[in-house]
Amino acid sequence: MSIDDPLRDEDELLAAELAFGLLDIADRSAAEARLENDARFAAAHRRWQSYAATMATGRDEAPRPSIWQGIEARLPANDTKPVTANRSSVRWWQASTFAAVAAAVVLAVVGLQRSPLPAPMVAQVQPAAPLVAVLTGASDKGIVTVSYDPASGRLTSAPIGIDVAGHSAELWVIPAGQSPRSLGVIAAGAPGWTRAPATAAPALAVGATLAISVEPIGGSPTGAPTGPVILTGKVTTV
Amino acid sequence: MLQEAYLSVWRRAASFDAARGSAMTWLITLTRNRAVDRLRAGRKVITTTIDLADMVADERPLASTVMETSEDQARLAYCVGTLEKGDAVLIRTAFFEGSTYAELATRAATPLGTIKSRIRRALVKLRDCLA
Repeated sequence: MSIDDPLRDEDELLAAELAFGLLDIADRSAAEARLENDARFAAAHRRWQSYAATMATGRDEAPRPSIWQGIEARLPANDTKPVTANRSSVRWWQASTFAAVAAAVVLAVVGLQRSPLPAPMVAQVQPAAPLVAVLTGASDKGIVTVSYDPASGRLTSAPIGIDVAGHSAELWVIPAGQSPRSLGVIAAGAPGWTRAPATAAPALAVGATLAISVEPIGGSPTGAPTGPVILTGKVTTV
Repeated sequence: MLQEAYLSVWRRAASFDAARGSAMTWLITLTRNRAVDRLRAGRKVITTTIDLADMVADERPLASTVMETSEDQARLAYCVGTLEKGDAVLIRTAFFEGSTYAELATRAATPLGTIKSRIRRALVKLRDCLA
């Protein structure tokens, strides 16, 4: 699994202990200091972190919907108090929201026009960088944040304030100039993740449009959107 | 606490380094660390008793309804399944509840040395299985 020589067992164990949070403060500080200047130790630590994280994804514990309302209220863009968090993060949030809204407006007005050539992600970035999109629509339709990790094929969705009562929310990717391809039905009330279908995954690239339509329970019966599109957004890199 | 973690994801998304691991690992690690930091800052430590004699393997299905089981997960689930009864629970408890060796020993009413060697043995087994 490691491309380097195996670490000494003792170091391998220390990396695991650090990743799982077993060490007391003194030992932890010492081990963390090693991460900075011991590349092999750091690589072992990352590997154990990913094991730990994989164990975590097996836990079927979705946050309560109220969590998302709380987050929405506390996001910097909604702050009514002076913002004490650092400014750049605020701009980042505002910029991405603005970009998504702008994309939605452009889409609504001129339809699917040719967008700038999507960058060939795979050739440029090693490993492929995660992609994100913030999907927005009319102010009362909520927001869905979608991220996609090309390395694992995992697609996560985090909805805020989505209400499709009695229907399913289906996520689509729309490559420039082509018809929508389904990415599946997303949970409307809680974050979730799924594997991007092989038919649609290649379309997930910078510049592609994501959209959410309201469909009968279980998703569109035709393979194309049949209900109204309530949210759209453009795919960008993190 | 969960809100804190997700907000912190928003604020720190720019610091994400794709070369250093998958987005999901980053997200989960950040979430977990925020949770444990929060517990410790409030001087709260989970002290629920762990009964090693009474432990059963975690039978919970690995896949939720909205998630397919990936190869990684299937493999890890298999390897975790090969561990001695209770060991997987100890490792998970450390990660999810932020318990160190010393705290696990107290919770399980077991000498620190015993807990340590038990978990280390399990970690080696896990690594050999996953390698």
